[in-house]
Amino acid sequence: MEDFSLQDKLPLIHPECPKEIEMCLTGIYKSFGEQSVHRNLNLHIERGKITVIVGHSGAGKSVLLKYILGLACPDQGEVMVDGKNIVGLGRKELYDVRANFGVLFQGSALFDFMTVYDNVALPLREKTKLKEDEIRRCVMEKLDLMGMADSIHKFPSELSGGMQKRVGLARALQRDPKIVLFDEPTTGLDPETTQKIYDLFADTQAKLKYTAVIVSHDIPKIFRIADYVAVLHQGGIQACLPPKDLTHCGNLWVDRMLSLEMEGVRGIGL
Amino acid sequence: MIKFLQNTGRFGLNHLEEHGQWGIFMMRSMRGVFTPPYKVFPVVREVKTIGFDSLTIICFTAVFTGMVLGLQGYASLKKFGSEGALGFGVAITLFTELGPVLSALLLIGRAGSSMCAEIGIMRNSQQIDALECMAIDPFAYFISPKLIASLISFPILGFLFTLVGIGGAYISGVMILGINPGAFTDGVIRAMADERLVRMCTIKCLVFGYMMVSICAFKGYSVYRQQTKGSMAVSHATTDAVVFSSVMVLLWDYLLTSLLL
Ligand SMILES: Nc1ncnc2c1ncn2[C@@H]1O[C@H](COP(=O)(O)OP(=O)(O)OP(=O)(O)O)[C@@H](O)[C@H]1O
Ligand SMILES: [Mg+2]
Repeated sequence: MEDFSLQDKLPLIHPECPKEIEMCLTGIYKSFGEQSVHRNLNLHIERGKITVIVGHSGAGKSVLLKYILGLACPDQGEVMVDGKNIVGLGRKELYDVRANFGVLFQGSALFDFMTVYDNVALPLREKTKLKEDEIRRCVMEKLDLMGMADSIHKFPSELSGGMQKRVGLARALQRDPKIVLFDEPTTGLDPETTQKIYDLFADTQAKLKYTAVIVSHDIPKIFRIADYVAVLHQGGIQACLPPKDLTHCGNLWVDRMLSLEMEGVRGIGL
Repeated sequence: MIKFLQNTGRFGLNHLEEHGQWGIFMMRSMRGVFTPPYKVFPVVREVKTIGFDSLTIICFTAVFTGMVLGLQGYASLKKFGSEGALGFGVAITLFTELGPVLSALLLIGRAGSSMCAEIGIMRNSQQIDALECMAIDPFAYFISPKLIASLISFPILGFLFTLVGIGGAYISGVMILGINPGAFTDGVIRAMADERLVRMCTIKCLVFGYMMVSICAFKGYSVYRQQTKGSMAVSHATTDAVVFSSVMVLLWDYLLTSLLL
């Protein structure tokens, strides 16, 4: 943590022009009835980096991910993924874009009529021509990583919330995605498992070089693996900076979050 | 006054939109039928849940319907001294009306409601979104198999209903009331030899099967259009689906009969 508290003051919005843009949201407006969720939101996501989106509960982080997935449409604005505008794209092209995605929903969204094994095997069964024993090998490998190998015959309703998250992660990483979108991957997990999953992200990211967008409340632990942290506040991205620059970005919300975190540590006498 | 006009307008637009979405829904599920990869197993599984698991209730209802028809038919025909026509009359009634319609209503109650609830819950818990995000077409994955399965199951169960019903009429008419068995079977065979009746039965069953899937699956798929949310929405959608598809079956029964007779 010292890492980013000892830095000198840096300019506000730091990476003026990142090298390679994978995804880019520009001029997004969205409201649900009376409630306006996003007002002129702009975000660039660099290829092959991990971007973490933070913001208070109800700020519109999950909705933002849904734009990228093509599950929700902004009222106004462009959502470019890999050079294509997702908004108003046909079904076929949308599926082509989504084929590169690995997605974890906030509520895991496992198929509740299938066992854990079948859930993780589904993307392979439907989208590849692998033989059943190869599928078995891949599935067990991913489940092993998540520490879920001994629950393969259980149904999602028989798992705890954290276990469901891990199965969801195994399913999302199954087809070696080029872009991963995780909505709160570690919420509800114990510190040790959280740590393990972050290590796993860092490892797989180093290996596969995927572009990751992770929504998380896990400040400041998530900063360890983040290349950029985007702060969503009051309907827009207030800053998108490398974590070490964040404490000096002048954003009150981030400052408060970080100081609360510190206080928590101090409060119990550590 | 303005308020009234506004409300009427909104109501109308809502319904138009619903019909449009229904059209798109049906197009996508039809397309799912014809796009490879063609998988047999999901269809077999659906035939089991829609068709095979309904065998008992279909047979049970058919036997008793047939027996009642035999009793009633005997009582009325006796007045004209033509009990011998019982077989013919029962076969025609079952073939053209009761077989297809009653089996469709039973299947809507049994399979249609569960189909709607299943899809509605998947929709509510984002499972359908998850499928979409894996680039798996939810229509090809689990709505098209239901469509094929009910187009297979409905005619089979409709004919089965008819045959078992005739058996029931045989029990009450011939075995209990003592009509001449030769006259009864003769009448039945004469009725079945008319290919128009067989065609009518098949067409009705196919149309009703299509009705059931298109309405029940659509209502489940579009639970978010309900005024209520969550589990209430699923329960309302299921009620809507059953009521609406039953009404449509009766309506189309009349239309088809007048067209095909
Ligand atoms: N389908 C919807 N209909 C109406 N309002 C919605 C809908 N989806 C989201 N909202 C509203 O949009 C806002 C943002 O929701 P969102 O789920 O993106 O929050 P979030 O940032 O992910 O919060 P959390 O951290 O708690 O998950 C919320 O106030 C929510 O009430
Ligand atoms: Mg959220």
